[in-house]
Amino acid sequence: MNKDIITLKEKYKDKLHPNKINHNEFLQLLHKKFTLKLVYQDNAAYFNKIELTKKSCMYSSYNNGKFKYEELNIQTYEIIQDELSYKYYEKYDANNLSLPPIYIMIETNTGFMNCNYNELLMQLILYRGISKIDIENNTDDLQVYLLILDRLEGNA
Amino acid sequence: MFEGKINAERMVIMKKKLSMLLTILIVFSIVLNSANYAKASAYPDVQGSFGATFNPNYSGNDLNTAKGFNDSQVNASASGDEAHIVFILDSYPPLATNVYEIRYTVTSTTLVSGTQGRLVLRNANFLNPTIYYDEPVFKIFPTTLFYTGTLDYVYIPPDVSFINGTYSSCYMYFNAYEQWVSGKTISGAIEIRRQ
Repeated sequence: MNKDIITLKEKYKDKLHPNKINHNEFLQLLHKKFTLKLVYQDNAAYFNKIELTKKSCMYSSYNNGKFKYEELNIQTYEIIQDELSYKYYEKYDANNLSLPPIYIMIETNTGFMNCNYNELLMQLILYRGISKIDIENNTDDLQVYLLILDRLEGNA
Repeated sequence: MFEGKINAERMVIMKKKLSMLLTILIVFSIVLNSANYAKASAYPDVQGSFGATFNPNYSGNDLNTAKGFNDSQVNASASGDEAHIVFILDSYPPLATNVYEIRYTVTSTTLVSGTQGRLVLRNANFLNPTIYYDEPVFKIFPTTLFYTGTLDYVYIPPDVSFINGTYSSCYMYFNAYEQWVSGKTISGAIEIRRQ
């Protein structure tokens, strides 16, 4: 099960190219892939989840002490169920439990993300990409990227 | 004297009006309270959680001890890097009837990025065991010391009050160690109070 980062890096060297996109580019990409609905900050249904995501971001390597809790800005988007998101919703609510919409939370300063559907969260991390610095320095972000690649290739 | 009699009658009428107004207010208040109560009791009160501890400094399971039952504290006996995962059921914001969000929270002394294992939720009736959830878990999340996320959703029938949860064959990914660290299988109970 355990494969160190160098082994994984070697294994997926063909797929590791600096391709990290910034927040605006990422949002544009999301809008191309899904029909999104921006959720207002004061939406009671999301209040608790936004606070927990802020806390997660606060202690993450994305923030790394740069921003204070009150400076964090979480944008929440619901993914509208349509033909674009069909394949995700089909698996997300496979048992027909009338689940709430899939949502994505993005912290605008750090790029930290959260999502109530982990398969999509892993895809989003791949969409965001990886930087040259991450690849050269074997950063935590590279580890996450490689773990996801390994998972999606069916080896994890 | 006649004027005094009229004033007294007016006072009586005023008192009657005031009394009626108070009665209406009290009735209105009772109706409002019961409506709020109904609203609150529509969402079951879920008590309890269970969790597992992972310690990369020890290979044996004997030191990776953890308690169930509302315990979110790391209980490994040695110092050093440790991570802890806790599962809870959440019914807010209101989901479909008797559907619960399975949420997990990871806390760690060092950066972690994922967990995997197998989560089973079953009723606590040993005579008639029913499994409500039995799925492999593989969750990768942005590297952090604290993370809380949605694991999945589960339907629990309305007549079930106690759930037993087990997280087995479980691992946590520690970035500094570049490896998945195993934890001891852990069980715990969650009570669902429906009013």
